[in-house]
Amino acid sequence: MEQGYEDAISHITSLISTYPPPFIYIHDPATPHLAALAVRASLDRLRESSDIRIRYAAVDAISCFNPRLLYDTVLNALAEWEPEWDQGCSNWSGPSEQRFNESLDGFLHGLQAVQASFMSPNGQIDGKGKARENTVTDEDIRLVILVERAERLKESMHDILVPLSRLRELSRTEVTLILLSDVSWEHIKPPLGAAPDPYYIDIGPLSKQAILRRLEVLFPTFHDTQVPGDQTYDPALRPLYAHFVSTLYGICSPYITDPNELAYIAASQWPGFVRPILDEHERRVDEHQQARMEEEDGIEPHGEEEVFVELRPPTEDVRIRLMRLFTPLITAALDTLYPRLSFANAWAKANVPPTNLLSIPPRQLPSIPIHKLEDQDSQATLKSLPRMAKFILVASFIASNNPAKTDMRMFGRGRDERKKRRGGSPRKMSAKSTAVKIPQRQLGPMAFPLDRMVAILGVLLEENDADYRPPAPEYTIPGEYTEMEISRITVFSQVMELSASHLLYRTSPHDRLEMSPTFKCGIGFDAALGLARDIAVPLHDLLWDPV
Amino acid sequence: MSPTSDLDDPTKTCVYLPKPSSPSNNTRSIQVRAPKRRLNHGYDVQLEAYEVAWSRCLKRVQAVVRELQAPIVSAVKTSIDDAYSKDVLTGLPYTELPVVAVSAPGGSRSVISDVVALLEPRRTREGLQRGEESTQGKGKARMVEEDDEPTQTHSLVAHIRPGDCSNISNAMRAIILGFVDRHGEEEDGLVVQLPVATKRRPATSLAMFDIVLLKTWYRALSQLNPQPPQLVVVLHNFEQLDPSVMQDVFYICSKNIPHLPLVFLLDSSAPSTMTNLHAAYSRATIALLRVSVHTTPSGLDLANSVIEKVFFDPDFEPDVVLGFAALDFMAEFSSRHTASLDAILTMLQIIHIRHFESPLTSFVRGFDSEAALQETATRIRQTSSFSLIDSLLTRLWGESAPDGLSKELPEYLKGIPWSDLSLEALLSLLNSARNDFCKRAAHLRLGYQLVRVVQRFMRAQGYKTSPSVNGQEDSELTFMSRTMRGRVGRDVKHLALMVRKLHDNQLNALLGEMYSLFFRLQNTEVRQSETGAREFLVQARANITPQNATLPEDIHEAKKASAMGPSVSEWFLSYVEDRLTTLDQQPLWEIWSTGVTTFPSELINPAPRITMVNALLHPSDVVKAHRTLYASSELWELPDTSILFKRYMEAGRLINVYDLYESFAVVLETQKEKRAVPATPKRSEKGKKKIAEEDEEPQIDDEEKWTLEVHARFMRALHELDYMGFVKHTGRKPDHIFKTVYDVPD
Repeated sequence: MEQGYEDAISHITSLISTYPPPFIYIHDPATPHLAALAVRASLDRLRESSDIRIRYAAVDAISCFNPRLLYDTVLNALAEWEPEWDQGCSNWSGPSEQRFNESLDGFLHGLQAVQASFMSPNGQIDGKGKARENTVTDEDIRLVILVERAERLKESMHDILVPLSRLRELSRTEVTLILLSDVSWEHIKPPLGAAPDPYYIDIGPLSKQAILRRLEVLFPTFHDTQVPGDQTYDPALRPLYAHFVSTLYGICSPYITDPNELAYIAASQWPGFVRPILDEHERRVDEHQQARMEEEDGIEPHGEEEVFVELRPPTEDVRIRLMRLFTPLITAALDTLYPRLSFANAWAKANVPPTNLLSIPPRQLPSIPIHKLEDQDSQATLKSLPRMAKFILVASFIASNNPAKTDMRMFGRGRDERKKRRGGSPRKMSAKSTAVKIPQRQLGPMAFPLDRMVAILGVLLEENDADYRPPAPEYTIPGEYTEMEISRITVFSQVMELSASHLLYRTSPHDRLEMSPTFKCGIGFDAALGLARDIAVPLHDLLWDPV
Repeated sequence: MSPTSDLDDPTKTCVYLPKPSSPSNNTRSIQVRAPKRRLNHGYDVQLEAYEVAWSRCLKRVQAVVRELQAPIVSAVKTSIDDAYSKDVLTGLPYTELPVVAVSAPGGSRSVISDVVALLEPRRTREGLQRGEESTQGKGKARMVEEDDEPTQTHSLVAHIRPGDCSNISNAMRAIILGFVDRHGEEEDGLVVQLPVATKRRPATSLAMFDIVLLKTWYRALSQLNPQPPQLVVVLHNFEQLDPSVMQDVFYICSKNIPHLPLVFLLDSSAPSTMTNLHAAYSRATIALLRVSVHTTPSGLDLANSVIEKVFFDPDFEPDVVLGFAALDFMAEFSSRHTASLDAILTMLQIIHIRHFESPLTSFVRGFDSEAALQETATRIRQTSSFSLIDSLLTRLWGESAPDGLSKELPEYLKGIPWSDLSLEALLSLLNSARNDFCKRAAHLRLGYQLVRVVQRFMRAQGYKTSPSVNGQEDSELTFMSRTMRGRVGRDVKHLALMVRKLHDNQLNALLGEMYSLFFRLQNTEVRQSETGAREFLVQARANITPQNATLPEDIHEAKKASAMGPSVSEWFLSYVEDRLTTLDQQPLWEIWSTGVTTFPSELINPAPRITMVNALLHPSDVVKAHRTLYASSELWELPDTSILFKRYMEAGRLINVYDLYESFAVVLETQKEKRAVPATPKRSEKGKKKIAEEDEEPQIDDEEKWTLEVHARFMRALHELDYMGFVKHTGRKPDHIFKTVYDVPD
């Protein structure tokens, strides 16, 4: 788990084992979760070694979201105390049965108690079964508190951040606090210089070799594969895996370098990737068996003799063929899996290559079909919307992308429109002005009041929906039907439903009643165009700034 | 859910507040207004008939929906069971937190409750405990007992609702206590052994919101059970949960798996849960999860299949048949506005209520025994509801033979003297009419199903099935409505033509499907009556030799139209044409069919704002709709608020309140004068002068009083408008108000 972190780890190890500073800050902007694992592993190793006596508590600031949880977790870990259900889940309370989680003061006493019991072997702590014979001095022991995701301390426990940073001097124990975060200390540190400066350790991004080594280590050992007979992670394939991850790295590294993400994509791709090789292997096993049967033809077979054909790693030629075949699939997996539009197991299930791929002559090889799972889902959702919801979404797309002052020009029908037109087009104005105007679609949707959207909806309905309406002889005045339609309950409940499913975003707070609520459109241009086509609205003509 | 809790639920756009009624039954008050042509207590009888019919319909709808959702329920159950075994992909860098999302657009919650019931089978098995447990409310977890099979995964369930998750400590507390805090009596008879509850001291024990507490408890649980259960957390109304809280919950839980086998079950009402997740949560949070989404059937498809299975299923006989007007409205409403299950149920219920407003509908179920008939006859005699009998008679004969040419008298009416008919005989005639109608309706349903079988088959083969109007095929609801109208002749002929052209293999498959339709009939009566059809199908299948096309000439042979095609096609045409008859030709048909009654769309889709504006502008029209109150509607005759509103509508965008007051006062002056007119002539000329001379000072008082009254009335009217949202105040000009309504179609 330390690949790529060797320097930092040796740094920390030597610090802790010699003269530990009271406060260390590790800043890893790229992969803090891996750095945390590495630090923990090194602390574990230190504990195993016999030179110094060390106890450590690794906590993270999200799980310990309030001071009491932090105190409990740290003290229990330092005392190596596991609460038991039968004993009422009580925390470690030291020989004096004290309560340590009440306040910072209690916590400091707790630290002292932990150190005291650590020093005296007769203390209550179950010292991992090893009886320490000779009493130890202060200098031999270390207490380390590692806090991951330390940036969250600023929000949840800003008032104890200063005492935490001076923990050694306040508690008068041999405690070292290590904060680990992807945010630098400058952004977390309390104001007015209240906290002392930590010992800084900065970790740079991982190198390519380190990442590849990490990925190779993740190749599951034989015991990890759950299904017996499943050869997906057969040790014979390990060299191929190394090539596979290096190709994968080549494809993905311009976009992501987080080893976990790469491993995630690798895990989703690997079963499909080795499928042809395993198919080939099975074919060979069958052939072998048949050959044996033919050999033994007429002779009584020797019981159930297992035919053993070794799984051989593929040749260079086959490997290159496979790589070429699977490159588009890996790119597609990156597109889909990194943003988690789909998940690894679903992807692995959906993208199984055709069977016996290797038996097809190389020139006739078809490209492997890619099943992107997420697209159908969202498109089907939009397609299955009721007609009025489609109108509302198109109207809100227009309202979000056209400036409000152009509404009269775009939708005004009648005398007013001509009067306004004389004013001249604002497009000319924008050409004159020096500031370059960025098109609205690149700025994202604007918020619009509900009333405005409903008015646009009225125009759209009047012009594009009249033929689809059921006959309504009671409405005689032109436009009366639409006027009724847009003020009906279902229009408003549809808006609420759409905003619940995040196709519209409500930008005004829910509890504000006195004004018209404001919304933003939640669909993109392509989706809006598709919807507009469904309901026969000429969307291009209605946009002020068409694409 | 009680209506008061509905008020707090932001997903509900409409909330029904029941009238706090006194225990005295409110049917009495309706009865007072009931018209004459009824049985005495007629309304009660009608309502009873309605209740029977509607509850049958409702039960059927529920059963159908349950049946449609059954595959989803079992899929969700499997996903939960396999969350830590089969679904985990080998080689992942970290364990993902399994999340099973059930997306039920339209907000149908029944899938979640069905899944929970599957995870908690004891609750259904022991009905007694259900009541107790359901009263324990939210946040409590319930123990689960699975069958004794060792292969099955056990689960424990905790329920989290938006109210529990105001912040991270409350959310964690709800989850942890949901599992940990349970009491002794629930443990009885369970497969999973629970650790004995121990007394925790709040100060020195682990905090309630500490995940370590759950871990400790789970460790104790694992020691007691060789196969420890999974922990399922149901997040109800997932969209309402605060994402900033939930992302921390997911983070904390994902740190502790797989030691704690937590599975999250999301109850989502959004149509696309993934889109929603991506919108609300960061990539880093979603990367911790493994989401599998299950979408329940919803929308138009659900609406179509529910209506088809309730009203067009040969095995179910609804008390009331939907007429084409109702079907038209449902087709229109569900494709245009919403096709949620709630909407369908509401529409069906309203259709039923409307249908049972007609007094004759009290006979909707006919009389199953002689005794029932006698009883009704006695009741009619006692209450002497002659107009009812009269109308029955007229309907029976009048509708049967309006012109004596086009229609023949039905069999059961032939030779019956209508002039001297006993009451019992009349009622038994009604029974015969009902039987006749039901027979026809059953025939219609079977015919419809046969057409659908052929349609589905043709669609599966990739053919277009109906000569469509504008390139789009009709939705199923529209097709149903056309069936009820009797306007599917063209479709049927088109289908028959297609059947004629099918080749042997296709025809064989189609005949098989047709046969299975008749074979699967549950209703023995219908089954027996269709023996002929079954025999024909068997015969036809026997005459076809399926081709096994391997050689090229065989393939060519197989592509040829089958020799049996024409005869099957003819049989299909005649069979269907015989059965797809309209139901509105029979006497008294409107008792059992909603027929041409249009749906009162204003009830389900009102336009409150415009209605209110119109009511303010023409209050008398609104009142007239119920009772004649006002003869005419001069401005001064209107109520104060209406007067003010009319004035308001005449004004510009920004209104000076004083001007508005002045114009209001003018109308009130007129009103005062006009109302005072009738009183003045009575007074003698003399007396009047006398009063004028004597009471000069009181007159000034009167004027002051009047001004005050006008003030008060103005303020009240203005505040009423303000209350209804017609007035917007401006910050800049304190004595001015903005209008909020313009250009109302008057």
